[in-house]
Amino acid sequence: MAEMLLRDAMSKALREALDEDDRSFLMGEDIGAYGGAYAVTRGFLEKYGEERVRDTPISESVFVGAGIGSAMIGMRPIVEVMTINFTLVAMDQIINHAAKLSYMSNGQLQVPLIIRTVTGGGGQLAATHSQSFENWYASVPGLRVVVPATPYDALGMFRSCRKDNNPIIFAEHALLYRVKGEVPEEYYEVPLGKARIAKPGTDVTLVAYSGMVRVAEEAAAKLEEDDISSEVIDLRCLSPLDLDTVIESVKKTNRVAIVEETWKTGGFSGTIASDIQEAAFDELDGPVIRINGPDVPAPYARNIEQLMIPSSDWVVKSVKYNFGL
Amino acid sequence: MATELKMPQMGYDMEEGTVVRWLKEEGSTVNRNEAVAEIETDKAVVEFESDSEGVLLKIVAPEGTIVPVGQTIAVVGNAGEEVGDVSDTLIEQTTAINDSETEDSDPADEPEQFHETTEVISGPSTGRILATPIARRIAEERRISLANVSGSGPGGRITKKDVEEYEPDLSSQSTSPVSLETTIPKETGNDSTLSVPVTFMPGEKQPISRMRQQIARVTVKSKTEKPHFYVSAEINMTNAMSLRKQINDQLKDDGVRLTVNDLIVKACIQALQKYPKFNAYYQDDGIQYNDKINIAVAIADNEGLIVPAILDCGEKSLRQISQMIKDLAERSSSGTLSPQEYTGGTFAISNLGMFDVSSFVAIIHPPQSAVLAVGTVSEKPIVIDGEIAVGQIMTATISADHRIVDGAEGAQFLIEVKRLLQSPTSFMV
Amino acid sequence: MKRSTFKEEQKVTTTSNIENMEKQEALGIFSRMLLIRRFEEEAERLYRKGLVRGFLHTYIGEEAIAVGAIPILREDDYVIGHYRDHGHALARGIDPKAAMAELCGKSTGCSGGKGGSMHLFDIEKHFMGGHAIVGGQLPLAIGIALGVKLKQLDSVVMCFFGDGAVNEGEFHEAMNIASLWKLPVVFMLENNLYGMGTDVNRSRAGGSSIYGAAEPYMIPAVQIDGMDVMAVRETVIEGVAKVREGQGPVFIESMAYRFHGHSMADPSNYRDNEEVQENRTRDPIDKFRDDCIEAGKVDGNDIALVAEQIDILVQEAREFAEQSPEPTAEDLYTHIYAEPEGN
Repeated sequence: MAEMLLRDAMSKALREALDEDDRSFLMGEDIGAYGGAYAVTRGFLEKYGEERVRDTPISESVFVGAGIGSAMIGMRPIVEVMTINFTLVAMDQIINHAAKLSYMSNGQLQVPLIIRTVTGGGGQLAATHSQSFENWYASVPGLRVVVPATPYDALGMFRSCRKDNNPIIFAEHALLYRVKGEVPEEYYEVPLGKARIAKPGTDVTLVAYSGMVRVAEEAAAKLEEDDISSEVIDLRCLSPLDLDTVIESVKKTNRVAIVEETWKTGGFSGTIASDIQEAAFDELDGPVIRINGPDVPAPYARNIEQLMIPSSDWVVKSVKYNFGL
Repeated sequence: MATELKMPQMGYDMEEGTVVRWLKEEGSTVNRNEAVAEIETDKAVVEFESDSEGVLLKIVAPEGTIVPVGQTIAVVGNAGEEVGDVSDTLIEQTTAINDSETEDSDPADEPEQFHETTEVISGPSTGRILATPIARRIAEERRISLANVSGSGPGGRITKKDVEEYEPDLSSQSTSPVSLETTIPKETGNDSTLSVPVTFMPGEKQPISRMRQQIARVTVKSKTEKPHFYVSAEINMTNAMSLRKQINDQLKDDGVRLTVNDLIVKACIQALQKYPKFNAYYQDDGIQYNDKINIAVAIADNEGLIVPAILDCGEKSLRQISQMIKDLAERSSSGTLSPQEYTGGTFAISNLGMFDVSSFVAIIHPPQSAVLAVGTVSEKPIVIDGEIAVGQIMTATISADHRIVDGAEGAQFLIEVKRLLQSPTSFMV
Repeated sequence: MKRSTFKEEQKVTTTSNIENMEKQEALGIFSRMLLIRRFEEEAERLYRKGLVRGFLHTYIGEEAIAVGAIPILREDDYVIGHYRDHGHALARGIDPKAAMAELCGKSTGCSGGKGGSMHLFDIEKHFMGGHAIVGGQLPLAIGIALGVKLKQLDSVVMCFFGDGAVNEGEFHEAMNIASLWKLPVVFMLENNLYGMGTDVNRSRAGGSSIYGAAEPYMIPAVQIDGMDVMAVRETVIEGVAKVREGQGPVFIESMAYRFHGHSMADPSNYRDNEEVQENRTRDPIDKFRDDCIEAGKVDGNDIALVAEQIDILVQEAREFAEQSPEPTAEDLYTHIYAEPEGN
């Protein structure tokens, strides 16, 4: 099986879309001549031309809206918003329009739009460029939110997204582009809404998604040294959310910690924690722990920036302390 | 060193109790297991016994005070020993837990935000027992009072592990009773009048009663965790039966009526004194020898089975044992057994003699390590010195936990029981 | 009016071309406008009776724009607009019954009772919706036009918006990208002089004439009398042809006046009565009727007959709406997400 960077898995996914589906086209800022801010679409313009690899003005609202509009009449656009921070400029289009059209038209309209965007902090890009808003979008009915943590899932879930007829926020973590993982040559898909047990274990469940899956895996390895066996669950999607896999795991381990990069207040970990205690209250052998970034804007300076992103040591300490392990 | 006497948990739903009356004054001597106060719960007034001896140094909760379960109501210690202002420290007890936690979780090198995620939910405000949801669930299923379980979790929170590994501490049980009001069967049938409690429609699925669930759980746990082995022997009860008849005839006016089971119990007690492993509990970190012999007797009723014990019967005479068993059966019918009688057995006997069955094997009742199953006593041809004679024969089968004893030991134990029953004069009189 | 044609030389549009029109065509225009008028009046009555709830924005006074513009389009063209959408929907041929049922929140409504007055949809008729976030439909129109272009079709997209939307960033983004990518969009600005209650002179630098806003984006733009249905027709015919040729978007500003408040909740305190009354004398329906009679195309009997038919249509729509079932509790949960492709 070939090893592949997540960036290359995404490139492959996008090439497949353009190769296999005439209705698909890419649109976004600097995806063509520049080759993509994260180099995912390098070489695409030359191969597919300007019509299908469309560089846009810096007008997020209108090019996201243009994606929606073209999807309304049967195209399958793939829109790239350079970072999730910039999706805020297009939030009206995403939430008031993309997420509503199927419902408000009573199913007459479908919006098969994939909005690819880059999420996460840790790159010393300071407060406006280091945020994660997947949780916000996950709270909106009508949207799907896909948050891959591995090259395998990035490709496999993108393939599933292409078959889905809903607006999708496909959030790729900036620090994962250089992560390598195995990606088989043969065709496969990863269904949306099916969490992955990244590592089985018996003593505590660590729930994570996107960039935090690696943190949880590292923490699991450290806990293992103290004979604490962690089960790491990669949610893969926030919407649809696979709560069943989480609950099954909690029933086994009786302890759960949710690791999430974004702010604790309003974090998606709160939703998951609440769902867990509703569904499995009598299975809990301790409080449901939320390990989130603190409620502060991301600073520039590296030392303090690192203090706001959950780390594996942080997870280990929190698990040991809160569960008395 | 002074010991605090705490409001006992006397019902799974008991959160507080009222000190009705102090039976001892401050300064008076208190013996262990001596009643010192009367405590009123929602359901009854009960005597509250001290679990340590000394002088009643201080009454913290005066008569009429409502005290949360687990909080100190008095202090017992050596005469003249200094007692701090207990009531004040008690009131602050809950906040103190929080303070110490905060200190524990304050590694200076951690970012401040670390505390947000590691902060333990604030401790009890009214002396409520801290336990995790699953710990509470398991405790309820196993009829374990959380008041007896010490918590290893943060802030002393009782966790699943604590409950699962909980073994009743017999020595202190008298002062930390388990309350089982809700699970004590109201009508416990006499062991000779077992009736089948069946009112069901074919094809119907009946809900599982709490007792059935309990039996299912306990037996599965036992058979899963305890590697059982079995040794059987035929015991010639001719002498024992005849001696029993004599005693019963002679002491009829005194109200004495020994049963076969009484004899078996007494024989087992003596055998256990010789082979104490059969009276011990197997624990992962060692074999816990019990300092008392509490013989549990299986009693069937309409709902299922209970195995209450006659407590501390090691030094009791046959007559006393007989009386204790009779008393146990009566109180089991009326539902007035004490919690320790329910859970305190150290060795069990299951007797299906009244059903005319020759033999059977029983499942060990955790945390015990052995159970003796006896069938009926029936006339059979036996060979004595080459001559065929009629003997009164009973088959007994010991089930034992292989982790604690081996087959040879099982045989030795059983043969000792057999020896005692076959020459009963030694222990019956 | 500054300019009413996309051609270089100025040309004043008059009603004289009614003379070139067949009687049936004239009656068709008249009946469409009257249908909208009577539909809106009935909707207001139902609102007062509590059968229509929420927001109700009527198109009374602006009928000439929708009726002058939309029937010019082909079936494969697209219409998308704002929340004052009943006129556009009816002009596009949505069944008045389905529209009225939608206003009444019935399952037989053109959006299943889930959209309401502001969100009428009929995708089969390429009516791509009323959209209720001011300016939000402009990016969608861009997208539909982009889809048309990528599919290499020659459809055009007619996008209605009001003077209020012009001050949204999305308007400017849409103008820019439509021009940049030469997208087939007819931008139909309905300038009724008030963004809700705010006079356009108080909200826009440069005053009440807006079409000049398209010029920096190199989009041909005209301003016409939106209360003159023939003027609208003539300009839209020209504009649509231009767009269909693939020369990119055009921009048509129709000066209009809504006779009633912004919505049913609007007491219209911000306009003085004199202004309202004066504009009502320019009623587009009366004007067209009088012009037609004057030109000898129709007579009073024709008009009365049409009016009678329209009344019947509207009463049927009302009865249909009243008698239709409400959505079921299950409907609450349908169509939040689309079915997977292939299902």
